[in-house]
Amino acid sequence: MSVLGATLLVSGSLTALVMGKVLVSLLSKEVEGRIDHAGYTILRLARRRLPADLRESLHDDEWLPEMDDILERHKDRPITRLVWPLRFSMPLLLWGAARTARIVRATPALSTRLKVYLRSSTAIVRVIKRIAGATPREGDAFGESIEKSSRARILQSAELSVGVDLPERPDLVLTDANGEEHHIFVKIPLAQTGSGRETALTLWAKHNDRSSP
Amino acid sequence: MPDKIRMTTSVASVLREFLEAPTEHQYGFDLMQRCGLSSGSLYPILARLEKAEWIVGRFEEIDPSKEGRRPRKYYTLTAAGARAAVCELDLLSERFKPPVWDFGSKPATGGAW
Repeated sequence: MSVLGATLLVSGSLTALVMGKVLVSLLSKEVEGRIDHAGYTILRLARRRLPADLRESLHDDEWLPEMDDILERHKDRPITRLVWPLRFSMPLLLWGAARTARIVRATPALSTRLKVYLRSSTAIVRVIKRIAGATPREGDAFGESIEKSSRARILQSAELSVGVDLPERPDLVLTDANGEEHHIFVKIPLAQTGSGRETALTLWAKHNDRSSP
Repeated sequence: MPDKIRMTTSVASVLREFLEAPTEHQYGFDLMQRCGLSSGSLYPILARLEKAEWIVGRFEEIDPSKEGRRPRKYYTLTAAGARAAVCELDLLSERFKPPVWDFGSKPATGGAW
C-alpha cells in the first residue's frame, strides 16, 4: 500500500468515526426531545377526555404544571424522565380524567336538590305566572335574560351560560288557560371555585317542545 | 360543616398525609409518590375532598415569567376537614384493629411452662 493510500485510509476512518459520533449524539438528543414530549402528548389526550369547561381548570392549571415539575426534577436522568411522565399521564388518560370530571360535575344529592327546589319555589311561581299569559318583562324576577325563538321560550338565570343538555323528562309540566302544555326544567349546577362551592339555580321553560332550547 | 366522604383505604392514606403536616402545601405529584397512588386514583380523591370542603386548593403565587414555570396547584386541609379526617381515621383504625384473643390465665405455649 502506498503512503497516499494509507493516509487516505486513516483520514477516511477518522472522518467516519467523527461522523458516527455526531450522528449518535444527534440521535440521542432527538430521542431525549421525544421523551419530553411523550408525557405531554398523553396528557393532551387526557385533556380531550374532559368536558370542555373543565379542561382549563384540570389540565391547563393543574396537571400541566405538575408535568413541568416532574420533567424539571428529573432533567438529568433520561430514563426517569421517561418513566414518571408516563406514570403520571397514562392513568389520567385511561380513567383519571373521566373520574375526576364526573366528581367535579356531580349532581348534588337529592336532599340538596329538594332543599333548593323548596327555596326556589317563589321563583318557580313567577315563571309559571309568566308562562300563563304575561309578556316577558326585561330584568324582573331573579334577573333572567330572556330569549325568544320560534320554538321555545327560554328563561335563564343571569349568572350562567346557556349550552345545557336538558333531561328527557321535565321537572314540571304545566297546562295554561289555553290548554297548552309547558315543560319546566330546573337545573342546579355546582361550579367549583377557588374557595368553595357556588350553587346557582337555572329555570328553563319550554313551550310545548322537547328539542334543545 | 363539611360533607361526608366515603372512606376507602386510598382516601385514608391521602388524609393521613395531609394530617402529617396540616398546614403544609401538598402537591398532587408529591402526594402520588408518598401515598403510592396513581394519578388516576389520586386526582378523583382530591376532587372529592375539595368538593366536600375538607381541603382547599390554591395556586402558588409566583411570577411565571420570572420563575420560568407555571404556578402549581397545592392543597391544604381546612380546619373542619382536619377535624373530620381525624374522626374518620380514628373510626377506621378502630374498625380494622385486630381482635384481642383471650387464652385464659396461662399463656398458650404448648406446655413448655
